[in-house]
Amino acid sequence: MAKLKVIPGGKAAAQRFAVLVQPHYDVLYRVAYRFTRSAHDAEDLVQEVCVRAFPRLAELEQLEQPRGWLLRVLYRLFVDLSRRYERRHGASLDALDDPPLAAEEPGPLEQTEADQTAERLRRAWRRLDEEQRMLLALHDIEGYSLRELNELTGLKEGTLKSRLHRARVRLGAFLERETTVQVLKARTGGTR
Amino acid sequence: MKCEDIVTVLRLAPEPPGSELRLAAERHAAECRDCRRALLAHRVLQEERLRPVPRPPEGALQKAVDRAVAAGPVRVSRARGFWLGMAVGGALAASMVLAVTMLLARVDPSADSPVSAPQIALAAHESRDVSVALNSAERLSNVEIQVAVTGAIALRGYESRRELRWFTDLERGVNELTLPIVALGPGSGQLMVQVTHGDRRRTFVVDVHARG
Repeated sequence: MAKLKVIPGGKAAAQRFAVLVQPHYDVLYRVAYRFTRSAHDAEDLVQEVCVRAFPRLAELEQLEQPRGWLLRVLYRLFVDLSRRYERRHGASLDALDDPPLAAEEPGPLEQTEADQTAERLRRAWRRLDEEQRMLLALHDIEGYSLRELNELTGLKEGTLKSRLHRARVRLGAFLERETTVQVLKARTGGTR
Repeated sequence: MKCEDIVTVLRLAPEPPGSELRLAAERHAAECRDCRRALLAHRVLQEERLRPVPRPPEGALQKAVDRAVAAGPVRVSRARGFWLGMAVGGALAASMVLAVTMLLARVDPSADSPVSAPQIALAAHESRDVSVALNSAERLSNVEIQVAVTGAIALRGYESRRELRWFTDLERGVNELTLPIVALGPGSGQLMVQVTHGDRRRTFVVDVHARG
């Protein structure tokens, strides 16, 4: 007896869905990586986007450019999942940023300057809120224009400009703080 | 000059050195701590831009598609009241697995009446698999299967949805469709399965009563 599972969609829909998502997968993954700064989280996030997108396959097939829709879902999911994580764990992701003990990581002298900058950015990044991460990742790193951000977020360009500025100021402040922490660590032999 | 323009003037669309606008921006930045921070952040993010992003792991797309397909059906707009009020009646069937053979019939008002309306009794919050045997005289492709629930029951794993609809292929002979139903609480509900291929359609209804 042939078994029909309650997995609606079937082969044909799965193939259609793969065809629809394939041209956008790398971009989604790249943006997800920029948001989360973790390859594992980026893969999870994009999978979650696909879970949300699949039930709307027919609608998405009608869109000329489904990428905008997929990116919007990606952003909303990123916000939702980040907040859910914080609620569940009773603390923000900042808690993960406590620097490891000196013995567990190479000291400043052993790191290249670029690595040190990347590490400072990693720590500072997690202290931004989700919208700030999204704006900076898409505009300042990925090079999306204000117009594209407007299409993605629905925010007016003037609003985007001022929020981008606030996000940069906040990130800059955290980066300064991280620099100070590294200098102090270097002076005190790695203890904090 | 507004603070939010400084990064644009000095970095994003840089004014030529010595231009009035650039000098004004530089003077502003020298005196404004926020703008210096914004410029620092922008510089670090430009460095980040040059750092490679890892490639998605091998097979990541297929994994995402598989997970999406396993997670949920292709959504269609719900036909409200689509099957409510249909005549029900017929044999009682309350076994753990209910098997009913449905032969597809051409759609006309009389042929599209429910095949049978057996009843199943559950305890509140109990779940049970209901199997429906779809008997096809030939292999059929692109058969639409619609499952709807009303009242106090739901499909386990799809509790937030009252209707699922998808397309599949039927093999020649008997095809088994297993539906995990769960009683949401005490009360009554109905499960409907409708199979459509071209102008042929069959509908099957089960009454479910959940005891308190």
